[in-house]
Order: sequence, then C-alpha cells, then structure tokens
Amino acid sequence: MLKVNNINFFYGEVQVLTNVSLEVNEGGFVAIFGPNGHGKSTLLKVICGLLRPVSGSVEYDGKTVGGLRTQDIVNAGLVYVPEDRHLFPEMTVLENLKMGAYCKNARATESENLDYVFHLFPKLERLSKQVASSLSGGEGRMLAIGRGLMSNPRFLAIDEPSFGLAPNLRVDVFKAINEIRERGVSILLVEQSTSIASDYADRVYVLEDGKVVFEGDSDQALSSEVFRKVCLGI
Amino acid sequence: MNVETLINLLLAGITLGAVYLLMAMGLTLVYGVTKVFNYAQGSFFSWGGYLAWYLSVGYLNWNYWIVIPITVLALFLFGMLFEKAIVLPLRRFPGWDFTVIIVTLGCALVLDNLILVTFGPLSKSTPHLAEGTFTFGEFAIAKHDVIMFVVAIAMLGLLGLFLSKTRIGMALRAVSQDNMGARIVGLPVNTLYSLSFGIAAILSAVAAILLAPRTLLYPLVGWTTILKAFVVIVLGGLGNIKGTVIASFALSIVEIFATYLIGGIWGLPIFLILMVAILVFKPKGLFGAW
Repeated sequence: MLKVNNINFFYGEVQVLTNVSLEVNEGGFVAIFGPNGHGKSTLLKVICGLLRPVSGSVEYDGKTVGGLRTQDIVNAGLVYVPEDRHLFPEMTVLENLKMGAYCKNARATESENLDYVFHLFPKLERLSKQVASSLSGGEGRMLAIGRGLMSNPRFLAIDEPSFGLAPNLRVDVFKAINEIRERGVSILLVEQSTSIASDYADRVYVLEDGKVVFEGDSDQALSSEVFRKVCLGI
Repeated sequence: MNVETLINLLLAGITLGAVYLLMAMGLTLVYGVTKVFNYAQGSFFSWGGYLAWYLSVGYLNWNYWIVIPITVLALFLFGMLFEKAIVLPLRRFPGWDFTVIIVTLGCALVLDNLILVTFGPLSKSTPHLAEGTFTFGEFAIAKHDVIMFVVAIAMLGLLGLFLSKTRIGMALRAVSQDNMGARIVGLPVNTLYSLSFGIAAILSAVAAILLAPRTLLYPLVGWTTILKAFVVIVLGGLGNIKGTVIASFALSIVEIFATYLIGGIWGLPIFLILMVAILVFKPKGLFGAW
C-alpha cells in the first residue's frame, strides 16, 4: 500500500535521511524505532508530503506522492498525526475535529466519524466545547489522533503517540490505535520507546543516524543484536 | 463646549471608529492567515473609492445601488488576484517574509500612482448614501453617518459569523492558529491565503464607499486610512480583536475632538503622536499580549 524508495533528505548541509526504503502492506501495522533526533519524524513528514525529499520517492496506492498538494494527499486517505500535535489552540475540540473533516472525501461520513472518535475517546465528547489549548497532554494526543480519524484515513502515519504520556495513558492510546487498525486502517508509527509498540506492530524498522539498520517482523526483533543495541541499549 | 457639541462629537467619533475598524480587521485577518502585513491595503481602499466614483458620478452615471455591489465584487476579485499573482510566488524564496514588506509597499506606490495618472490629482466626491439629517431636539446626526455606523458594524458582525459558523471561515481561523496543522488536515492553504486578501479588499471597498463622502478621494487617500488602521492595530495589539475594537473607537474619538479643537490637519499627527507616546510606556500596545 505504501512504498518508500531510497529517500534522501537534508536540513541545510546535514543529511537527515540516507537511502531510506520501507514498505507497509494494506492493513499492516508497522513501527519505526530509533533514538531521538535520528530522522524518524522527518521520515513521516516526507511520506505525508509535508517535506520534499532531495531524492527518492514515496508511492501510496500505486501513485507517487511527490508533487501532490497536501490537501490531495489527505483526500487520498494518507493522513499524518503529528507528535507536537499542531492543534488549533483557540478553537474548541469539536471545531478541531470538524477541521479534520475538511477534505472532500471526509465530508459525507463526517457525523459517523465523529461518533466513532467519541466512541474511541469518550473524554473528547465531554470536552467538546473546550478550547484545545486547555487540554492536557494526553487529551491533546487523543484529539490529534481523533482529528486524523475525521479525515477518513486509509493510512495513518502517527508520530510518537506515547511521547510524554503517563504509562497507563500510553496503553490506552495504543489500544485505540490498534482498534483503528482493526477497522482496516494501515498504521505506520514512529516511537522511541519500544515497550508497548512492539506488542502491536507486525513489522519493525530501526532507524539510526538516518539509515535503516534493522528491518524484520516484530517477533524477530528482540532476538536481533542490532535492534537490542540501538533500541534497548543492551 | 456645550453638551450638545460634546455628544455630536462623540457620535461622529464612534461613526469614524467603526470605519477604521473595518480597515484594521482587514489587516488583522490577512496578517493572521498569511503572516503578511499588507501595505497595499490602503490602495485597495483608494481603488474601491475611485471605482465607485468612476462608475457613478464620475463618468458612467450608473445607479449607485448597482455600483456598490459591483465595486465590492471587483475589489474582492482584485484582492484574491493580488495575493495569487504577487504575494504567493514570493513564498518560495528564503527570507520572503521581509521581501514581501517591500513588495506590498512598492505595489501600494504603483497602485496610488496609477490613480494619479488615470484620474488626476484633483479630489473627487462620491454620493452620500442618504441625504439629510436625523434631529432629536438639540442633537443632529447626518443620515449618512448613521448608515456608516450601521453598515460598518453589520459588516463586522457578518465577518464574525462567517469566521465562527461556516466551514471555510473556520478554516481561515485554523490557518491563522497553526499553519502546519492546517496543512496536516489538508486545508487548501493557498486558496485560504488569497481568500483572506479578498475579504480584506471587500472591507476596504466598503470602508471607502462609507468614508469617501466625508473625506473626499485623492490619490493618497489610502495612506491616511491605512496608517490610522495601523496605529489602531499597534495599540490594540496585533490579533487582539477586543483591543482593536477599543483602540479604534478611542482613537477616532480623540481624532474628532482634536479636529474640532485644534483643526482638521491634526487628525493623523495626533494618531502618530499617541502611538509613539503609548509605545514608550506600553511597548506591547494598550492591551498587549503580542
């Protein structure tokens, strides 16, 4: 469903991604691990067309993403959920969710998607009239994911879903992501902490210094020396 | 000064304030959405006024009630086109946020001089929207002034409804609050940029149609209004709607009193002196969380 071929990306002179290739199958759950500052978020932004790679290509559903406008990418169901949230701070929770349903393909199913978001995160329904800037870290994360769901995604690229959350909240967030996946949405996420994500992912990549140093099924990962060294430090 | 004069001056000040507010809201909206301070908005004002004049009493003698919607629509399209053709292409270049200041400033000079070349230096006057005055005992207020106030407030009310209730209006607010967030959810940011210019141009055209019968039109008329709107924004706090409303009424009342007490040419100098004086003591504006 998603194929990333030999992406190279630079911030100024600094090469952040070197020949990164990866693949996500329809309905798959893929996790990219790696230390902070090793290009994971940049990779997701490149995949979702928010940053342009210097070379390489991203194919989604058989079409090249490069050169598409961001609204067309979202409209095609490839949706990014940012780690730093990028919510609309002075708009209410409900308004934020409505903005998620702006693109053409999401309008017809807006009310069903809203019901689903509220089913997945009942707390958001209670908070629906509050402005986004008043939310806690966990609530904001839920809203960011919920807003992504409003776009009617077929593919969610989620940036550090558990970052900065209390342990019990992390589990909740991953349960929600897994439920989304069970509805047929493919998931690609990046994480620093492997503990929870590796339970859900069926395929794992490890990114170190902007290069893919490990790829394999998640049950092979723990027995791999590279994976243990980079992600667990043992 | 007796009570009647005082009240008449206050009324005149409030009326004028409502029109300045239209201009200030245009600047604020465009700045919020596009992060561009559009110096050419004063020229949108001038062109709106001159177009209305040309279509009506100036040359074509069309019915003024037809001229008004045509002028407003023409300026809307002009504003959209201006952003698409001149501002948007700059975004590709590093340091565009500085370049764009010079470019809109340059466009303002070109647009103003086009007026000079096309219509000449002599000032023009557009029709009042209603002749005569309302009198209540000792108080008298021109019908046109009442219309000015009502129309300006109604326009701002409509703008508020548009921004809070419609999907596209909400999208404009979303872009101004988090540009990256807007792109992430797939808002058509480029369209929204030019829409914000279009709306500011509508507000400018309406302001010109309301204000021109009072101040007359001359090639540099837009500068006076945009400078006043600029002072209003600085004092009210950029992006602070409540502050902007208060500042525009306060400043226009001061202007009216200054004009009455020490003479008409003091309107703009008073604005600028006040701006400097207040910024010395409150660098973030009167209500300032800049």
